[in-house]
Amino acid sequence: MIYNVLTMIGLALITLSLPLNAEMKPLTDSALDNISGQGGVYLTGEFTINKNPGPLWATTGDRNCGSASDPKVCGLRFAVSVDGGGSEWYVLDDVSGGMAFEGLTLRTEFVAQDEEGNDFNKEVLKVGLPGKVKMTDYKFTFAFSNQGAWSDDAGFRQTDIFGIQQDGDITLKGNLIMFPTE
Amino acid sequence: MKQILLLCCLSVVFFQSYADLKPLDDAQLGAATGEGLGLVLDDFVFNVDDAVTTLTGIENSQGEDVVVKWTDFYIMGEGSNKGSNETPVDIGTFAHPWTISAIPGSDISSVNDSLAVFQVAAENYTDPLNNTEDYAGWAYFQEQHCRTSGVCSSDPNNAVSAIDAQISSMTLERDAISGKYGNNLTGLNNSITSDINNQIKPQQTVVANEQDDIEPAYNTMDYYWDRLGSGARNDTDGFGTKSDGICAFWEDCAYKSEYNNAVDNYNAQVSQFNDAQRELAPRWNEVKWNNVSLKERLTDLEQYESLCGDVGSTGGGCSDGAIVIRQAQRSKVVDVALGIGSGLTRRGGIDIGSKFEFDVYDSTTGTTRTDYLDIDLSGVTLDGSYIRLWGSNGDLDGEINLKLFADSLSIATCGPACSAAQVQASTLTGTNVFLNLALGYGKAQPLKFSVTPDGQFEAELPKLTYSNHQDFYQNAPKTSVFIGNVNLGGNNDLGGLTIDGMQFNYLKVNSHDL
Repeated sequence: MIYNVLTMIGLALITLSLPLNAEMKPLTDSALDNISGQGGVYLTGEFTINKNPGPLWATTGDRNCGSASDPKVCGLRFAVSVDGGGSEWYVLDDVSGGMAFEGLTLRTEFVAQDEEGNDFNKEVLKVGLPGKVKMTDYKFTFAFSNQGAWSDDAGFRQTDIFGIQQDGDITLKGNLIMFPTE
Repeated sequence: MKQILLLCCLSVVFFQSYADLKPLDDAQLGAATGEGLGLVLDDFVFNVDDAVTTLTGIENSQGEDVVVKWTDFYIMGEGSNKGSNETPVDIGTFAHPWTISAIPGSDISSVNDSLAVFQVAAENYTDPLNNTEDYAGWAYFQEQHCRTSGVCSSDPNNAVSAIDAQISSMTLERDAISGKYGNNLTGLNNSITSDINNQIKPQQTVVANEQDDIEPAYNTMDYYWDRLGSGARNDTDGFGTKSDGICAFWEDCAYKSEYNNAVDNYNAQVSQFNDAQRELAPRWNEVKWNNVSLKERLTDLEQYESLCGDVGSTGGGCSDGAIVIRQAQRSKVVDVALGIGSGLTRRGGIDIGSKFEFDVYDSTTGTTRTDYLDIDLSGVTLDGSYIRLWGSNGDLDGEINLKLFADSLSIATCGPACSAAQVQASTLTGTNVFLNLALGYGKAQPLKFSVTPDGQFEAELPKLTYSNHQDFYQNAPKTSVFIGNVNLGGNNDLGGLTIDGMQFNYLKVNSHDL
C-alpha cells in the first residue's frame, strides 16, 4: 500500500515536471546575453486526490467509507510504522479532495549577511507561498491501526481519532526559505 | 545545494514511511556531522477563516456525531488583535533558523550512543532578552512584584527587586537556622545521626520485637478457641474474651484453661507493644541537643538543606540548594532588566488562535444548542524547543522539549451573539504564560510511541531503573508551568500559578473506545 502511495506521489511529481523539461535546447551566446540569472519558477497547480472515485477500493463489496445506505469510495491511505514495519501504524486515512493554488514561486537568492550583520554568504531556496489555497471537499481522518494497509481481515483493528473536512479559501502568505546549516 | 535539499527531502519521506531508524556503524557515523536544513518563514500569514472546516469523529453519549466547526485558525504576527488584523510574522531568521537535521546520538549527552537521531529544533537565542526561558523568568518576577507589592509600573528592575526580596527572605531563614545552632550545621547533622542511632533505632527494635510477639500469641488463642468446648464457649463474650463462668460437669469444657491463658498472654503482648510505642514517641521531643528537640532539629535540618544543599556534602556551607539556584536565576533576570532598561526590545512573537463551535444535543431539553470555544495566544515564542526521534530495537523513541512563552493566553466561551461586555465577563486571561514541557530523557527514559494490538494509541515514559536514576534526577530536563497572573472576567485577578521542577517517573497514555 505504502509503495502504491509513494508511486502515485512520484508519478504526480514527474507529471508536474514534464512540461518544464520539454524540448530543452542549448542557448546561443546572443540568447544568453538576455538572461540576467534572476527570476525563477512560477507555479500554478491543482491536485485532486480520490475526489472522483479513485483507483482504490472502487469495486462493489470493497471498503465503504460512507454509510450502508450511502456507500462512498475511500480516499488515499497513508500509513507510518513506529515499530519498523510491524503491527504499530499511525495512519492518515481516507484523504481526498482538491487543493488549488496560483502563484507559488521558486527562486534562489544569494544572502551575503544575516539580519544581525554577520557574514552569511549562502545561496538560499525561497518558496513564495501562493497567498490563497482553495480547498475543495478536502478531508482526512487521523487514526491508529495494527496494519499498514486497510483490510477486512478479522484481526484488523483501527481507531479513528478525529477527521477534518475543509472547503473554501485558506490564506497562506509569505516565503519559506531553506538553506543548509552546519 | 540541490543535493542537500534532495537528501533532506528523501530522509523525511523515508522516515515518515518506515520510521525504522537503525544504529549507524562507525564508518557511517563519520559521515553524519550534524548538518541539516535551515528553515525560515518570512512575512508568514496562515488563516483559514474563509474556509469551512469541520472536525468529525467526535460522538456524544448517545453515539450521535457532534458537529464541531473549526471556524477560525490563524498564525500571524504579534499585534494581529486575535487574528483580525492580518499581520505578517517572521518565524526563524537567517541568524536563528529552525532546523531539521540528522545528528549523531553521541553528540547528545542524554542519548550518548551511536544512533542516528532525527531532530526538528526551533531557533536558538543566547541573549537573555530573546531567550524564551530567561525572559519568562524575568516576566514571572516582574508580575510577582506587581502582585506582592502592588507596584505595577513598567520599570524592568521591579523583577530584580522581587527576586532580591525572595533571596533575602530565604537568606534570613537560613541565617536564623544557622544562628540557632551557633553556625555549627555539621554538629547539628551529627547530633541527629547520633540521636537516631542511639535513642530512636534501639527503641524501634524493641517496638518491632514486641509487634512480632503479637502474631504467635494471637494464633495460639485462635488455636484453642477452635477447640474450646461448647459449654466453656457459652461463658465468653466472643472470641478474644475469657471464659469466666462456672463450667458445670455435664457441659463440654475442653481446653478452657489453655484458652484463658492464651487470652491473657495475647493481651499482655498487645499491652507491651503499646508501652514500647508510647516510649518511642516522646523520645523525638525529649532527646535534646543544644536544648532543641530531635524533632525540631530534623525539621530545621531539612529546611536548611532545601535552601543550601546536603550538609554532609557541602560541610554546612551554602554551595547548593534553592538559594544558589535563585542567585543564578537572578543574574539572568538582571541581564533581561538591563537590556530592557537600555532600550533594547525583544523580537516580536507569533499570534496563534482557534475558534470552535460545538453543536451539542441537550438530552434534558431535547434540543440542540451551540457552544463556543475561542482560544488565543499572543506574542508566542518557542525558541529552544526541540523534538528528537530515534529507533531502538524496532521501536520509535524520542524526546520532546517544548518551551512556549506567550504574553497572553485568553480562553473565551461566549459566541458571536454576545456583547463585548459579555465576552469580557466570560474570558479567562493568563498573562506571561510559560510552559516548559519535557517528555523523555535520552536512553534513560525515552518517550516511546506505539500502537496496541487492537489499534489504540499508546505513549509511554518507562519506569526508571536503579542504574539510571541518578543521571535522570541530576540531568533530565524538568517540566514547569508559570502563569504570571490569571484573570477572570476582567476584574478578578486570581493571582499567579507556578508548577516547578516536575519530573515524570512513569507515564502511560492510552486511547480507548468509549
